[in-house]
Amino acid sequence: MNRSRVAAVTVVGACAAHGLLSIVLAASLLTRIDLAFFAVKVANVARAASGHAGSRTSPDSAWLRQFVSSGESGLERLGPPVIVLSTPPVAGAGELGPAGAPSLPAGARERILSEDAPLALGRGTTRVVTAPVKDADDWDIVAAVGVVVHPWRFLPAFVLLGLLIAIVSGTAALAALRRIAHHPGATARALLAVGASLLAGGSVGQGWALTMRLHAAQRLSGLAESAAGAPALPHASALAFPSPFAVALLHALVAAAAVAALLAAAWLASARRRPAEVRETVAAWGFLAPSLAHLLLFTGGPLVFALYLSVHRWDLLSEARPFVGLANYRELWRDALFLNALRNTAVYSLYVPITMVLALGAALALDQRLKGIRVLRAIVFMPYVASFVAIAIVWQWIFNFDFGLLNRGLALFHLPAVDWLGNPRTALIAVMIVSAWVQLGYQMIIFLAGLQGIPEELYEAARLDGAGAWQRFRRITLPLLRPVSGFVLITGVIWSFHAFTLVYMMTEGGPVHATDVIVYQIYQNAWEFRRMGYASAMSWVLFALLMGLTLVQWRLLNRQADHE
Amino acid sequence: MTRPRAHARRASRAVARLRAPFVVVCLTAAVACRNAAPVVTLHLTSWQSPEENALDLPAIRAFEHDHPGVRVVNDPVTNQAEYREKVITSVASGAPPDVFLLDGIDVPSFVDAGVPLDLRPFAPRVGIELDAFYPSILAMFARDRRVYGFPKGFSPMVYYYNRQLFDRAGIPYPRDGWTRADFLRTARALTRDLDGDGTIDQWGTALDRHFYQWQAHIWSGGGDILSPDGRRASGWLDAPAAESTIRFLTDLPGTGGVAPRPNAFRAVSGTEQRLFYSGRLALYSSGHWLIPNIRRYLAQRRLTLGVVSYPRAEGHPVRTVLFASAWAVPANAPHRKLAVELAARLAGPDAQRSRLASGLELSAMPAVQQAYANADSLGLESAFVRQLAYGEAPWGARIARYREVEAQMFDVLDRVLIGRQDVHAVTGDVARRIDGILAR
Repeated sequence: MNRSRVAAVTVVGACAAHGLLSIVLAASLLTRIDLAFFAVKVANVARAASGHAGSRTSPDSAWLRQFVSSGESGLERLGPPVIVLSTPPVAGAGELGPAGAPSLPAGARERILSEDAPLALGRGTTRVVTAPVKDADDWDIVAAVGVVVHPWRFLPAFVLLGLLIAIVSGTAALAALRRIAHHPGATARALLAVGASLLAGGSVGQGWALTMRLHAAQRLSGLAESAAGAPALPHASALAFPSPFAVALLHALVAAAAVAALLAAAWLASARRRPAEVRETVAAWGFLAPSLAHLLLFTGGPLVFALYLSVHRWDLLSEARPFVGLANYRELWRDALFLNALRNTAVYSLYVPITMVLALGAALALDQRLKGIRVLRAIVFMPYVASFVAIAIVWQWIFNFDFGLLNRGLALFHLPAVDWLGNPRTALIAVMIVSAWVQLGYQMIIFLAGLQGIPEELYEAARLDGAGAWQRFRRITLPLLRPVSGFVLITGVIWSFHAFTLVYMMTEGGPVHATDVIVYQIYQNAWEFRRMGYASAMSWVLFALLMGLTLVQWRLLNRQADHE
Repeated sequence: MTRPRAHARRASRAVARLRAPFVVVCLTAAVACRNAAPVVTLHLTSWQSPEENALDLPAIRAFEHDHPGVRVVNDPVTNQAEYREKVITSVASGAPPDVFLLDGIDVPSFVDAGVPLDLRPFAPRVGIELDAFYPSILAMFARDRRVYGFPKGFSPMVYYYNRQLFDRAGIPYPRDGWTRADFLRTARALTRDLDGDGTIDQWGTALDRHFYQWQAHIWSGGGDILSPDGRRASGWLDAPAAESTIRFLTDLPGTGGVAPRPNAFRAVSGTEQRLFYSGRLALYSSGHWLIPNIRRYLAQRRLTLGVVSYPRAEGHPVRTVLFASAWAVPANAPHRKLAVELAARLAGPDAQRSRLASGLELSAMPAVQQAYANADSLGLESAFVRQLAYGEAPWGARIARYREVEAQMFDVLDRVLIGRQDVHAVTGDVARRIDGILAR
């Protein structure tokens, strides 16, 4: 198959996948929106019926039917058929309402009459949404009301929309590809842009339409709640309204994927690429795809959600999550404890270069062919794989003022005892010592691998030229270890900014906030104070700082490498 | 080529032989599943230790016996901080446990967020008489006549004293209502260099910087950290009454020299506890939860203890703080009736009686606690019950932002003790910070 054909197949595939994904997404979201909407309505009717039940005994089925259809409840406006169950079953009344209602799955009756929450039962295109009717004391479930819901009834419109977008954008993109293959130029780029815009615009438009429907359903159910006088929002996640943020995010992801596929097709069609290069690139992306998907899902997703939270106020438990704009970020710069934590984190990260020097020394010392050298390497590496909690406890004892090992050692040299963890001047240094001890083995192993990758011939040639040990180290080892050093420095600094367990276990940020670091502040605000929005703002500041620092380090290292 | 074919034939014959029994097993399982009684699973969670959970088993088994088809799954998280995270995330995700243990200091924030169910209307239905609980303990879980938990147990903060050290020094045992002057005099007399090497081997008392340990000192000094409506700290934490208590406390390891250097770090190292267990500390403040750790030594008479109130400042009454927990049901529990019945069973007199064996806390029911105290040969239980007269709910049970306020309180002692800062400057600064938190 030649490149043009592969590109054409890619375009058609991308557009078809986009159309299909749009339909599936719309179907699933419409189902959830409609089920949640009906669940709220039915729950309110059930609440109102509970108020009329009046006794602990089973209400009369006929009365319940009358209540449901009297117009007082508003349930009839949702459309027949309406289901009424009661316990015990009323002879002759039948468990289901008007003809046309689906039969309930096995065991559903018991479940409906035992669970204190609205339920959605059934599969396929028809669902039954039910809610329990309680006795006047809100104690025993005496009956249940429900409605049959066809949540996919809006689907045909969305199917047509998806197909239309796929066909128009696909045609434009195919025309663009033909031109790119033969006459790359402005027209081709314009056509490609039209195709990509249609795909992206289609997704955004669909997302917007669904969000509008979500808002309308929420508003209507809100009105129903206030009319019934008692909020009865279903809490079960299957019956909760989907988050508008999640709707927007899902559609943005679909749009991004479709546009990426179009760009990939254009790249494929470009005449300047050789087939071997194409195959190599496709294979590389194929290998990267699983980890990329993982990264997007488990890192990109939470990152975006944290950004969303950072402009909201949310205590995790309340359903209210008001938008506060940049208030959380503004508060950060007035928060003395956060600024102190920022400073402490910066100071704390200074242990990284010191550890690097020690680790390089250890690597040079252990880069020998001696008996038992592997055991020695394993011993140095061991702290890195040991439990941080155990390490923290052991070092608490070592640092103990009265009977700690360190002060006993100082006493041997007639030096005064130091209150390592109790003095604000030494507490952070103490934690840095432990971190250095933990990281030493890891950094040593990386340096060791780097050292063993340097060709022996270079050293032999240097020796023949009369270079001494220091010169060999300075002129050969250090320059050739630069990529390794860069890696160790960047990952070490990132790791140091994430310090938490040692601080949590050894000092809890004290004394007098001397060891308060950013991640500890984030933990405290998120989980102890339940200020998720504020903690998320802190996380984003940390992210921006780390990103900036990493870029600076990366540039500096590359610039030095270029000079040499 | 023949050997693989022979293997394949043998394998296919084996599969054919197994096919019939496999179908029979599948059909039997399907029929068994179809005929099995519908099982409702109730999830229960708490921060109780395995030993305490074992003491709850009889109540759970009796509940399951009375409710065929209902199974109770206990998912405890022993670490209290992690437990809180678990409950919060499960409630936030719409999948709460059916019954959970509610800490008294979480009541305001959980109630504000609408988490626990009001149990008062259901109490008579499940055989719980609310009058059977200590009123002050029940009040911690109540708001405007609504009750958000059936109390499980409680503990007042007290001072334990080592009788052997008092006897050895010929000093009379302290009595409830003793003053700070009495406390200091006693602590000084019991702070000793036993081997004459110039270092103190036995301390009179200890200072713990966790606020729950010194809240009762502030109250017994006639002060408080917040205004009665819980809206500001200025004018209270930086008032003379609270500041004199802070000076009194920080002097204990300082100029007083009757307490060892306080834990340098916030995390509990247990140093003071170990000193107390080993007879090198005479007076130690804690709750009833100390008992399970030392029960063995008490039974062997290797340690003989007494319990006394916090010392009071001259002219002010004794007060102490009560910590309690209760069994609660989330408002969105899927099996509300069963969950309320289970909570009632766990808070009922039988379960309270059974749980007393753990020694962790006092029963929330006076009748149960009194009977247990009467049978206690050590006299500790009666002393604990007496503290109830001085007890009050902690600030945590009254304001929603208590955890943030509590986190600031470390700074008060830290900055005075370690930073050598002026008490008034510190209290003024911390009070302003707390005002900001409460106004948010």
